Amino acid sequence: MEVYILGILVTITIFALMAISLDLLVGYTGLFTIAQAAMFGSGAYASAIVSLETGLGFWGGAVAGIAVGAAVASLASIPSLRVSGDYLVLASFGVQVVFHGLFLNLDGVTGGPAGLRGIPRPSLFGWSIDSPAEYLALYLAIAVVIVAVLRRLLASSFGLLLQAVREDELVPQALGKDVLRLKIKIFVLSGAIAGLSGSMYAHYITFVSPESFDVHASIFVLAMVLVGGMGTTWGAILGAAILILLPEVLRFLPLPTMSMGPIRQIIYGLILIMVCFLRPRGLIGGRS
Amino acid sequence: MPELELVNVSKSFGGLAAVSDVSITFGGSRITGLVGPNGAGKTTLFNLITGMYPPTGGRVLFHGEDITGLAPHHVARRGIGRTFQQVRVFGELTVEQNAMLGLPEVSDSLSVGLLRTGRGRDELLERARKNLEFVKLDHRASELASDLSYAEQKLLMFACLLGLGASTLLLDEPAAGLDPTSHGPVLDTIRQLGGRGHTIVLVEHNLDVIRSCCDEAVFLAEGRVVRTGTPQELISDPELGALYFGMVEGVNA
Repeated sequence: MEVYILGILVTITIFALMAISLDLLVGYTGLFTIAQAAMFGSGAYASAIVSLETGLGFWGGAVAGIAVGAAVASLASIPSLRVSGDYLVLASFGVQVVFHGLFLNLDGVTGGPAGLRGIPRPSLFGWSIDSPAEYLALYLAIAVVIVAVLRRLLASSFGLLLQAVREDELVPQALGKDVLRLKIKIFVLSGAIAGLSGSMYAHYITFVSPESFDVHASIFVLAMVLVGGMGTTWGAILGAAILILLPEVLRFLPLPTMSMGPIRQIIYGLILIMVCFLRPRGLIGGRS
Repeated sequence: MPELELVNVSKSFGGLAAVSDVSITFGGSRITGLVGPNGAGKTTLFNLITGMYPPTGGRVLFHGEDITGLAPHHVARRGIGRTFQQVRVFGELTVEQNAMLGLPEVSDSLSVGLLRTGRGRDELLERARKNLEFVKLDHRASELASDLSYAEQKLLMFACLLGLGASTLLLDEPAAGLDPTSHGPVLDTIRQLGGRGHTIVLVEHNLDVIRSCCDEAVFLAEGRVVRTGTPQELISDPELGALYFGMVEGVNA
């Protein structure tokens, strides 16, 4: 039981980082996108490939995951420089579909539908990370550092400019701000963090395959941000915790085995709808 | 050397000529009013100067340097600030944060964002407060900008421009939407800005505002300069009056 709970906490940590990375775009800057799983997946694959092919392990893989996540994000940022609102959602959906297609079909690189197996577990100064408790300690430490740096950045003048651009893109330009460069930077930062969380995921599950990185995964993370509360960081963390814990809790409901799956899905959906109705600004009360 | 010079500037949208062959010189800490009926090309002229639209012909010179077609943020950094017809403040941010946004140090630089701490931030805040003092909004610094009255939001836009450090200010209908009692503080601030050595160009429909604020006025109609003179000369010219009111009626009809 303890291993089970610790395992869930590790998963929450990984997805909380991914949700935070999306919140940078959606919550702080008002760039509504559904391509986060493309960056998460690119990071996971890059990390898996580098660690499997080069023997650089988790840390080498994580660097590759960050770099590739950032590179994919810089590509995904291109539509945002020209379009916004509904069109940006659609364009980001396109990016998501393209990357999922690449994961699925680049057999020589990604292993195709079968994915990549045997991704090495992390090690720290020669100490191998194997148990969920060790994973939790390592991943929490990484997450705390990232959240601390981000909170400092978001509280600074850079964060202020993000919020301004969220409200109005024209006035900041008239005040001498390079809004296009700002957007590219926040996409790259978001992609780097998503890529890192993808790398953490790959080295925890030790297996990657395309279905973990499809459009459902992107929407799942978007739901985390919306349920928790946009533009608050803590909201993204809370949203990740709730959306990962909820199915686990529902698992313990006394339901007949046959109908368990669909009923759980329905309850899960109803709870999400209730949150939207009762707390439209998210549980923490982020921006609307 | 003039501060801002338009040389044969033109702009057409499809087949429609919004601005045709306009040449005007602004400078010398003067307040110039652009007057003319709706559709005369006044706001388009602002958009051409500030890089919001590229002109289809002609050049825009600032301190003798060709700034034609530069991106809006580059034009602003060179020293041309503008306001918009509608009040555009950041309603979800505080008054103080709005004023800070004008400062050049508030930028997309990640390193500045991460490294500028304590004292650095206090210094920015101090400068933002000074600009708020100038427009007499310092006592409301920590309130949300959306809680300010319409006139106060207009003043806040001026505080943002002061932070930018622009020498030329383009003000698009600064008195529009204000009732006569709240004209006073806005017009006083414009005159004070003129007194501080800024070159100011304002677009305004209210001729009383033009008369009381401007040193000179330029009459535009159908995208062309019709006449330049003192506000009194232009306003008392029966031909321009007919043109102005005739066109206003024409538009309204």
